[in-house]
Amino acid sequence: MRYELKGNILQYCNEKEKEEEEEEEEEALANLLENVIFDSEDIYTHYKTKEKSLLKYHKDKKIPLPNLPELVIYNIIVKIPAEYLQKYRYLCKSWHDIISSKMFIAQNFIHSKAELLILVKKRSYFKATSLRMDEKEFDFKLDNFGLARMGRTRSSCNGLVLINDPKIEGKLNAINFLTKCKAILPQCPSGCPHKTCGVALGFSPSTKEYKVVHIYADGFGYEIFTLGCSDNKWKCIPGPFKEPYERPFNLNTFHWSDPVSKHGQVLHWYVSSKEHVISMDVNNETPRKTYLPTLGKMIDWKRYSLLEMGGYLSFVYNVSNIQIDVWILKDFAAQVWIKKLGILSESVNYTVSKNPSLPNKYEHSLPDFHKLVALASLRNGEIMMFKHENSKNDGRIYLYEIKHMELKMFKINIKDESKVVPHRSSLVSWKTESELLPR
Amino acid sequence: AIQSSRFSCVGFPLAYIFLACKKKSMALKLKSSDNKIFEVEELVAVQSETIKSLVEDGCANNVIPLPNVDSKTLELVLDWCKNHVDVKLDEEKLKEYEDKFIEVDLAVLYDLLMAANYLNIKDLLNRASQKVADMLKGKKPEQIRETFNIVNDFSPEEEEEIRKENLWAFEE
Repeated sequence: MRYELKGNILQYCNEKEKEEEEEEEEEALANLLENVIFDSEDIYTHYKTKEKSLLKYHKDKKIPLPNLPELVIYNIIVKIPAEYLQKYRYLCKSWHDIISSKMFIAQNFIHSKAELLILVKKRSYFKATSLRMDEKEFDFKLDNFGLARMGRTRSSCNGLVLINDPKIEGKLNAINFLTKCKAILPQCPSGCPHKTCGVALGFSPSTKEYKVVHIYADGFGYEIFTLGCSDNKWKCIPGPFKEPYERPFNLNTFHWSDPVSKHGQVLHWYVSSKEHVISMDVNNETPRKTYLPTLGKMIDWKRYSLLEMGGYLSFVYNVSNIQIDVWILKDFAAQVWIKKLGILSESVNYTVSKNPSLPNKYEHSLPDFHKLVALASLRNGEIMMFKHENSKNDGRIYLYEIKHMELKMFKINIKDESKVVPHRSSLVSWKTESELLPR
Repeated sequence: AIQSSRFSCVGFPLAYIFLACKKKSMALKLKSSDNKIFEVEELVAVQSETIKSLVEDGCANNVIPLPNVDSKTLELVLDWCKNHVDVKLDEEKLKEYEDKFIEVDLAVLYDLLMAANYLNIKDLLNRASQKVADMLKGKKPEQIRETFNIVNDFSPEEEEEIRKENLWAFEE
């Protein structure tokens, strides 16, 4: 935008230019709307370069706020969390249109705060609790999430949660609990009952497709389902191991588990190996081995866990009873790991959250670092969450704040078999599943 | 070859001194809507894209009138700019400063939004928008309508229709 001095007043001097550019802009906007879905980097560059068209677009859709320019209002609304916007949909027509636009939804998702869904098994169903970190204090808030009776929750991507159908065995659903949209997946060719398998919902930013990647036993290979696809069929591709001897695990005892998802774009499966994990870029659908970092000694495959941390795959290794090391996969293509931090018990500042019911003295002392199992990370990788291997069902969790080296013990409703799924809510909605396909 | 090396030997320090002088001496004069003149370093002022483009076009030699910003707001904005000259300085302190800076009432916040938009200062605009968004979230739809002066233009039938679209009953 250019300005010019006219007399004593600073004025926009692009009125004429604007008219000339109008047609061009309209085209650009059409392009923009078509191309934008959930690739945050894409959106930022789009947003910066095509700001003009954005401005024009929102000029056409008037928002009647006194005195504030429309783009400023748009900038404010887009920062309101999705769960509130869901209620503000019906304020007026222009808000409804804005909140329903794909571009707005994508931009709003960028501001969406991460939460953890903690799944606790009741008799025949699961109960989900959402855990959100407090923005300032080293504490968190718990809320009920989803339905009173949830199915086994498998993964989350762009606000959509992949979940076992609580009623029908062997069926998977992709649900946005906020906008109350649901996609039902067909039974997969392997006939998997989805009890002991590895499955995740991914999103390919280049093709703008949602894909469910599933593996039951590697003999069946990978089964991939694109949400909204016209033939409503799973596609099968070969599993990661060509020859049986390549399997790092014992066939009799191993079963696949849900992978760690990096923004839904890359999935990483634990395969009980001391050398590698199996990874898949959701975009090209090709499995590959990702070698674990070189520690200078043999890796014990029972002593590490994988999680997503600040946008990277993280390898958390219980080195000894006083040390835990955290590595991150800085470069996926070149397989470059860097050691992010070492947590040493002697330098940790340990506290216990105020809790009246702490019967055992041992809970006031530092836990054995051998027994801490890393579950997830929070606040964009600033906080790590652990559970205690031996906690049975006493609900002990430990949060570690990396910067201040503070370890704090909390008690929540979490059990041994509980699963933790990182989640961010979005306004993604659809009437028919084909709307989830790129247009 | 000898000549060119001699030239660069002399040229480098000269250019350096010239740049250093330029950086130090360049001060801009900004005039607020209530005719108060603010003298600020160029480095501070050019965080406003609007002023930057004026400087680049060579229109900044005299007093720059800012008829859309009053002196009270301009003072705040310039304070923000001074503290954001070297962003790499200290992240934690900067965050602390921003948090404190933005703790103002809605009226001031509106002025800041208007000024940041007019002067095109991205980070201030974002921070102020975030603050307003934080203040709005959790309010009842009716309160939002009041804040933004929104008139509900849905007919009851239309509203019913849209609500139905988003209504999806779980078979519980």
